[in-house]
Amino acid sequence: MAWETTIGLEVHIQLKTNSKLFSTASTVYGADPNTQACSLDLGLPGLLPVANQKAIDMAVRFGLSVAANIDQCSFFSRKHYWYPDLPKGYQITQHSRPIIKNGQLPISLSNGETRFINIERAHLEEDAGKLLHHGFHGNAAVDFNRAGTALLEIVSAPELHSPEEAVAYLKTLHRLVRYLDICDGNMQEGSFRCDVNVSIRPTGQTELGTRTETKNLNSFRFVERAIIYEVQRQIALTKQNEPIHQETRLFNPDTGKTYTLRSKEDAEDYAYFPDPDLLPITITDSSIAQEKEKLPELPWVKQARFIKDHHLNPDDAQILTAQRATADYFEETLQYCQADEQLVAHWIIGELFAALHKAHLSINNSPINPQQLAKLLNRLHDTTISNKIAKIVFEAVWNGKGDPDAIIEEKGLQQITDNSLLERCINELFARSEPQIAEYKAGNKKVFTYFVGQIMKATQGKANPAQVNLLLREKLRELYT
Amino acid sequence: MTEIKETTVRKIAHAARINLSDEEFHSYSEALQNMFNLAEQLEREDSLGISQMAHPFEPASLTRDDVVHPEKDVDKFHRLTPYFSQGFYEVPAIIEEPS
Amino acid sequence: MHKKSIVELSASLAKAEISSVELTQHYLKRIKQYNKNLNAFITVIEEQAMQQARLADQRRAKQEYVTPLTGIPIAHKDIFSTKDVLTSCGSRMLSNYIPPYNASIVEKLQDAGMVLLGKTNMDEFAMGSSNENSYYGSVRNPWNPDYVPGGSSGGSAAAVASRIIPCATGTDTGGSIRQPASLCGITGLKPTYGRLSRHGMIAYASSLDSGGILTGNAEDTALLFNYLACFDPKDSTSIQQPTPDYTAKLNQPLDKLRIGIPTEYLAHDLNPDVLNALEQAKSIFLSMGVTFKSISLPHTHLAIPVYYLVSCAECASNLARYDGVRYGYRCKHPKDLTDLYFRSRSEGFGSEVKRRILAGTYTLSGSSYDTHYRRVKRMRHVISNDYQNAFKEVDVILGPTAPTPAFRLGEKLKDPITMYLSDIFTVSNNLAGVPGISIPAGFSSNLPIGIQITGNHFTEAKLLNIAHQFQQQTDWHKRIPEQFA
Repeated sequence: MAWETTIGLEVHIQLKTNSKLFSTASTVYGADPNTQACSLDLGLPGLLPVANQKAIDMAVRFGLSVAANIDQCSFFSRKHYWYPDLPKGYQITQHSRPIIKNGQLPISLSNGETRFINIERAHLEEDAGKLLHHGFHGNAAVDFNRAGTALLEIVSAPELHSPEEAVAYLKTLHRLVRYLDICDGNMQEGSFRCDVNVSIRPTGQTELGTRTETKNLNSFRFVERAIIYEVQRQIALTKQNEPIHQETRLFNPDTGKTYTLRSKEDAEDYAYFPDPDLLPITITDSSIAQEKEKLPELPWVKQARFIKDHHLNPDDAQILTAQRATADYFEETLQYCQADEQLVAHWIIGELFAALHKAHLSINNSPINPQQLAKLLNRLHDTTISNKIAKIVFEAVWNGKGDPDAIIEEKGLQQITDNSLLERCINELFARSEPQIAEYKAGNKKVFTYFVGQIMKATQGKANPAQVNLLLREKLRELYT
Repeated sequence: MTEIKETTVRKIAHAARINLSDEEFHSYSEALQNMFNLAEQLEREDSLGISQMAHPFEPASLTRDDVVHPEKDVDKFHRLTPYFSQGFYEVPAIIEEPS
Repeated sequence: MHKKSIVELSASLAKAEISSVELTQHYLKRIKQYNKNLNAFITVIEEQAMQQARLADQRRAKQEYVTPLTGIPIAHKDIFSTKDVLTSCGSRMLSNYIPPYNASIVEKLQDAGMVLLGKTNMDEFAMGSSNENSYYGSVRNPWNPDYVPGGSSGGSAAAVASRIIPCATGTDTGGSIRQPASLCGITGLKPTYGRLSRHGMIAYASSLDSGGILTGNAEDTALLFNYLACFDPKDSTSIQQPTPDYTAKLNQPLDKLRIGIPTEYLAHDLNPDVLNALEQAKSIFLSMGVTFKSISLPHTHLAIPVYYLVSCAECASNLARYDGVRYGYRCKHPKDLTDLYFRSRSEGFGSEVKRRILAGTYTLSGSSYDTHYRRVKRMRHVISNDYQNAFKEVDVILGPTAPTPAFRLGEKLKDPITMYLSDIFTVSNNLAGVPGISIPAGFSSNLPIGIQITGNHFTEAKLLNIAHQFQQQTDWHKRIPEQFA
C-alpha cells in the first residue's frame, strides 16, 4: 500500500524585544539563573501585566509579510496547567482570537516549483521558565529567566507532505523572520523551535490519520529525522493493525527515535479564558500602515530579483539572500564594481564566506567592506591583477593592510603585460629546458603547464596567464617550424 | 435540576490541586451544586442577543515601550522562600511518566 | 483627638497644635488598648510608624512636600503589598510573605506623607462578607462584639469605627468596602473600576476588584481620594483620565438632584429597620430639594449568580499561582511534585477560598466554559445596561447597602448562600464597574445601618457631594461605640 504523509508545523519564534512580553525584565540570553526574572515574571501577588508594544508591532509585521489578516481587536487568554516552570499557574497566550490569521508562505522545492503553504494563525504568548530535572540532591530545579519572554507561535496548515517540504518551509520561515528583524533565529539558544504534527493515511483517502505531535525540535536536521522516524513508526503500527495514539512525543537525537511524553487522555483541561488583567489589543489602521512602511523586501522577492536583474543562478541567488546582510553586502559591492555580478557573487560565496567562516565572523563584522571588495574586483576585471594575485590582495586587505589599490601599488603586484619582458623570460626558460622541450616535441603536451608555472614563478605570479599562454604557444610553434 | 456527580467533584478538585477530606467533599459538593444551580438559573434567562462583557470598561488598550528596567537586587526575590539554593528554586523531582 | 475628622486633624497639624508623633502615639496606644478584643489588625508596625511620624513632622516644619495628609495615620488592608511588612491577605498561604515592593496605593499615600500604623484583618483573599474567614481569626464589630463587622474589609471597618485609626484602605469585589462600612457605621467608598490602581493589590477577581477607602465621613473620604485616584501605567486596566479635585464640589446644593430608588430593592425581603432608615434618608433628601423617582433595575436578581460565577472563575485562575514554589506556604516533606502542589494548597488555603476555587474551576472547565462563562459575560452586560438606562432618568441611585444590620458571629457560616445574599445590593456595582458609597443612616438596636448611593462611571465627586450634604444634616456618622469613645 502507498502512504501519504501529512505534516503540520508549529513554530515558536522568540521575538527580538529587549524586555519581556509583559514585564520590563531583560531578555538577554545566558544570564545567571534567576537573575532576569522580575516580580511579575515570578508571579508575585499583586503584579499586573502590561503588554510590550514592540512585540505587538513585530507580530503585525510578520502578518503583513505573509499577507495574513491582522485582527485589530484580538485578546490575550490564560491557559492553565500545573508545572513548576510556570510561575502563575497559567500562561498568557492567545486562544480564540489570535492576532494573525490566514497567511501564506511561498516555499521553493528542489524541482524548482513554488508552493504556497497556508499559515492558519500566529499568536503572541509568553514563554515559561526552564526546569532542570537532575542534579540537585535528588530535587529538580527551576530557572525563571526565560519566563515571560515574548514568543510568536506560527501554526501552518497540515499540508506539507514530506520531510523535505517541512524543512523547506522551516528554512523559508527562518529566513523570513530574520529579514523582518523580529527574531535572531538562533536555534541553539531556542529562539526558533518547532513542534511537528505528523500523520499518515493511505494514498487517496480523504480524511487525515491520527496525528502525533513531536515537541521542541531545535534544528532542521532533527525535524527531518523526527518526521522520518514518525512516519516509519506509524506505518509499522498500522501494518500490524495497532492503533496510533494521539499524543505528545519527544525526539531523542542520540537514538533518532521519538518517545511518548503524554497521551491525549491525560492532557490537562487548559480552561482558557480571556485574561481580565489585560484589555483587547487594539491595532489601528495607522499602526498597520507604519509597519507596512518598515517591511523590507521579502527574501523570496529579493531572490527572484537577483536571478532576474543580477543574472545569478538560483543557487547563488538563494545563498546570497539567505540573510539580509549578505544580500545588502552583495548589492553594495555591485554599486562600486565594474565586474559582472557573477564574479562578485563567486567572490562573496567563495573567498569571503570561507574567510568569515574561518574567523568565526558574521558578514556584518567583515574586515573587508563592500567598497574594498569592489575595488579589488575592479582590478581583477581590468586585468591589473590576476586571480591569484587577487587572492593575495584579498588577504592583505582582510588583515588591515589598507586599500586594495594601495596594496597593489606598494607591493608592485600589477600584472606584467609587457610582451618583450615576457618573451625574454620565455627565451631564458627555453635555454635551460632542453629535455622538457624534447618531451613536448615528442607529444607530451602536459609539459606546457610546466612552462606556464615556470614563467609565473619567474614573474612572481604577476604575469597575465592568458598572455603567457599565448606567447608560449607562439614560441613553441616557432621551435617546431 | 441536574445533579453533580461525585466523579465530577473529584475531577474538579484534582484540576484545582486540592485534596478533599470526606467532610470537605460533602460541603464542597454542595457548593458546586449551588454554583451549578446558579448557572442553570442564568441559562433560563439568557439573552443571546447581547454581546459579552468581560470588563466594566473596554477603553484603548494600554501598552508600554520596549524598555528594560533591570532589578537591582534580585536576592530579595530569592529570599522569599527557603527553598532557593545555588541560584535555583528547588522542587521535588518530577517522576517522568513511562514511555 | 480621635473624635476629630481627618480634615480637623490636618488643620491642627498645619497649625502645629499637635504633632504627627503625638497623633501617631495616640492611635498606637488605642490600637494596643482595643485591638486585642477587636482583632482588627494583623500587623502593627510601631517603630516604623514612629519614624514616619517624625519624618512627617520634619516635613511640616520645613514646609517640604507637605500635603493635607502629611502626618495623618492610616492602616492598609492586608491585601495591599507593603514593602518589608507582612502582607498575608488573611491567609496561611501568605502568612510568611513579605513583599519586596509597595502597592501603588501604598506608595502614593506614603508620598503624601501619611503614617502607616499597620495592616488590617480581612477575610482570606477578600472572600467573605463577615470577616470570619481569616487565618488570623474573626474580627469583632465594635458596636457589639458578638456580631460580625462585615467583610471582607472587616478589619479596616472595625478599626475606623472604633477610631483606633482615622482611616483605612479596603478593597471591594462585591461589596467588601461598602457592606462592612454599613455594618460598622462608617463611610466607605468603592470607586469606579480602574480609577484606583490595582498594582500591588492581591487579586481576588480581577475584573471586579476595586481599591477604596473607609473613613469617618464623606469629607475625609474626598480628601483621601484626591491622593488615591490616578492613572497607573503599571495596571493595564487603570483609567487614563485626569482626576478632578474631589473636595471642590462637596458643598454644592442638591436642589437639582434626581435620585432613583429601584423598585426591585424594596421588593426584596428587607429588614424593617433598614427600610425605615432608607425612608428617613429619603425625607432628609426631600427636605434638601432633591427630586425622587421610582426606577427599575430589572435584572437585579441575576446579580448574585453572575457575580459568583465571574468572581469564582477569576479567583480559581488568580490563585493558581500559589503552589509553594517561589514564595508563600510550602507543605512539609512533600513526597513528590504532585504532593507539593496538593498539600501546599490544601493546607495553605482556608475552606471558603477552597470552596470558591473549586466552584471557579468548575465554571472554567472544558465542558462548561462555553455555556457558563460566556453566558455570564453576556448577563453582565445586561446588568450594566440596566444602570445605563437608569442613569438616563436619574443622577444617582439610592438603596440600602445591606439587607440587614450586622449578624451574629457564626450565624451564617454554615450557610454560604445566605451569606452571599448579604451582598445583594452591592455586587451589581462591581459587575457594572460603577462607583458606590455607603454612609451611616440609622441604627437597629444599637447596630448601625448604612445606605448606598450609586452613580454612573466617574461620578465619585458627585457621590461625595451628596454624602457630605447628607452628613451636614445628620449625625449618624459622628457616633462612636460607647466603649471606644
